[in-house]
Amino acid sequence: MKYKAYAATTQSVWFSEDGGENWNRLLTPTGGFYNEARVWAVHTHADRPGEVLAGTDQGLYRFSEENGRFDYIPSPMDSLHILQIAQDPYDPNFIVCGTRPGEIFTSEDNGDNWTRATLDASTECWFINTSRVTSIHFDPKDRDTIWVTVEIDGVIRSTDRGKTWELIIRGLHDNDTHDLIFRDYKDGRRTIMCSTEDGVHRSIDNGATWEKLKIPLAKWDYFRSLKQPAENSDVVIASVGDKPSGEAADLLISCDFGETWEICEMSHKANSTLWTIGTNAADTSLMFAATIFGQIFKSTDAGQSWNKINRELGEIRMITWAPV
Amino acid sequence: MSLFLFKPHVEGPEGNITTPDIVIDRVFVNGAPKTINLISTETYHQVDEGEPAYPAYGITALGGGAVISPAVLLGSGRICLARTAWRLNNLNGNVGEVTLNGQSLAALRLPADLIEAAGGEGDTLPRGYLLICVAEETGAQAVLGDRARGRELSHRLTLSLISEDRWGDVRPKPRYSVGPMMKEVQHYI
Repeated sequence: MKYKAYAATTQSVWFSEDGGENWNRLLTPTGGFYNEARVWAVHTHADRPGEVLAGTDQGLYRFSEENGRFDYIPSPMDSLHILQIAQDPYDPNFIVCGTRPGEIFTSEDNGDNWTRATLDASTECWFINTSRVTSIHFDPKDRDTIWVTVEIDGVIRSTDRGKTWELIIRGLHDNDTHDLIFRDYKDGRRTIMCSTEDGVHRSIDNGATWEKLKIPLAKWDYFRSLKQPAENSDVVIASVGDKPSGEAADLLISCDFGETWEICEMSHKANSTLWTIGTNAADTSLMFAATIFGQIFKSTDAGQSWNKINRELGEIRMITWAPV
Repeated sequence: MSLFLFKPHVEGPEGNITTPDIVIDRVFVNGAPKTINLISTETYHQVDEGEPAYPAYGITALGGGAVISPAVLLGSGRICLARTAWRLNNLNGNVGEVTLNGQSLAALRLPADLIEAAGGEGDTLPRGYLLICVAEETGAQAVLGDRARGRELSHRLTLSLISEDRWGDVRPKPRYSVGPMMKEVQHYI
């Protein structure tokens, strides 16, 4: 399978066409945006091979293999930092973006028109001054429901495709939330896990209440990325570090959706918190993970072991890959 | 000392895109000087009820030759410039065939005439200049058409009324988060 890996960094988007060994940016005279643009989000959709949406400090952009460049998408987000992008798994024309400050914008027509959602995220934060959206998820079972995590405010959910939102934080030890994953069982039960600055939390009542998971082997509490290699899988990969931006980190793996965990085997020590994990259902054994300070790790055995790639980049905010 | 930082995506004839940062510190609308604080590249604007919008085009001075962008002028005077552009010297001498919303630029005022009136020559303008030429028709969309190459640059504003409130009658109060403290803290100011 031919694929490309994409890394969102403080120096534009980097592309790898050889499994992560070599990385390159588009040329400044042709690529569509400045090579030192800060990019926080890269997003792909299974129905649009070769297309990448990028969230930057200068607006939203779309890369296509056909054009070989990033094209600017006019939106109300040009002056914001676009930190997260999601597309309806069944309708790539429905795009949701999350920003700093903590706002949500939706488009139902592939980015032609945008609506600023009435997301009542906190407007000021003692700890980080300004709230920001850290993840966006379309509910795996209910297409009208969208979940977002906001740092620092908690978990916020819409059940009407982004028109109205509710804050659901009961039981969270910490509202500094980072990521979510879902496990729906055949008997109708659902478990959700949420990574936070103070550990991983679990909800068994669709977010109404949360409890902190005990993960004794985790050396630190600062959990960042949670990923399932396959949709609705019991297998979970979690990244945890000493702090943001941090000086050390581990990847943990659970094969029973958070009941038990093991520390993943890593070829090198992480130089900072592992910020992002990139998975794709097209190959559940292939994953990339990156530290915020530029290390890239690759797993080809479904997350059991990770090898550091020689090439390091600048500050990495998101990494992903997709077939092309 | 005011300036406007313009970051257009300049589309070349081969489909390549460069994105120079251009400092604009003088703007003229139909030859009349205006404050550069009226310039915006935002595409979402609040307007008064009945406030008109006029399609326009803008010529911006740039090192490799001036660039042309679609624009929309609002009745309040705001100059809404697109973040896209073509380089005049890439239009291969067919500027007269370039259209604004279907109307030949020659029927408005050609870029060369604007440039000459502003003290420039050919596709060279005094540094920091933006020249706006406004059409008489009304509309919140400006489309530049390059018939010779079969391409377009489109700039569409989304307008909402100043009186509209997206929150309706339930606009919430701003909220304060304490982060990992998870407890009341003394305000830090």
